[in-house]
Amino acid sequence: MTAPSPLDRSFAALADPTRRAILQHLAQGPATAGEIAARFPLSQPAISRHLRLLGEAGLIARRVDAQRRPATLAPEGLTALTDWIGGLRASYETRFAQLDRLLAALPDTDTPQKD
Amino acid sequence: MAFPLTLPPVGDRNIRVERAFAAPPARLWRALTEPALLLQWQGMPSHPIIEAEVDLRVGGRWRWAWRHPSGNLMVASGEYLLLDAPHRMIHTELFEEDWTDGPTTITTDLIPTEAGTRMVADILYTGPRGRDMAMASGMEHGMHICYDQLAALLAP
Repeated sequence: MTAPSPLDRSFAALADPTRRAILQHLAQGPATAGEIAARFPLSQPAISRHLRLLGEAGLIARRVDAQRRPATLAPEGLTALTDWIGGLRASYETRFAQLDRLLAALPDTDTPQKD
Repeated sequence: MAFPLTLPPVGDRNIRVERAFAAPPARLWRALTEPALLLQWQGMPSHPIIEAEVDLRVGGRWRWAWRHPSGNLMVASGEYLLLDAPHRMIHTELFEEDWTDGPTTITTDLIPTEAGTRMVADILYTGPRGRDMAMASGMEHGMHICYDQLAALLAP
């Protein structure tokens, strides 16, 4: 096993449905642990633990705002995840464009080529 | 002709790749299975393909190798589980030093259309991280929706 990469931590943080729901909630705007706890069937300490994991994964930021410490989405943390799938998309798009050109040049034949 | 590529989220361990091609299924099948043809399109400028071995029979294995920018080889291989030319292929795929932590099983359907072929490849991640891969795919989809909504909101 190698050390977990930031992407690994992001994936691990997102593997939990409660944390995904918290992220969805934060997509509507910053919220404190107390405000989030009021909307989930979980204690405030449990919510705080989820927020800590999301923070360590780089998916949210906590403002030090006296006692409030509202959590906000960290778009750059989410970017690492979408970059991964974007890389997959780019790889397919590059190769399929090449395949388009090959197919245009390939004659139709009913007899598959033998090695 | 460039057709859009879609990666719609499906299931919780799958990524689906959909793409139209202006060629009949039989021609696409050849490009997907003949080494000499694979070598012409499976490489990328950053990762040229240098090897394509195909033993095209059920239970037969395939192995492709790309040159990674580091100079090392990036190797993927797998087994053909079903070959129904030119309609459907099911094969496994595993990258060496794979970080998906297990092989994927890919079901490729070539559906004839008036314009040519619609290819639908369903990639099933079998390792413990499969769900993460599928989720990232779903997130990209979600992000696009978010961006669309944002664009609509910002429109004058």
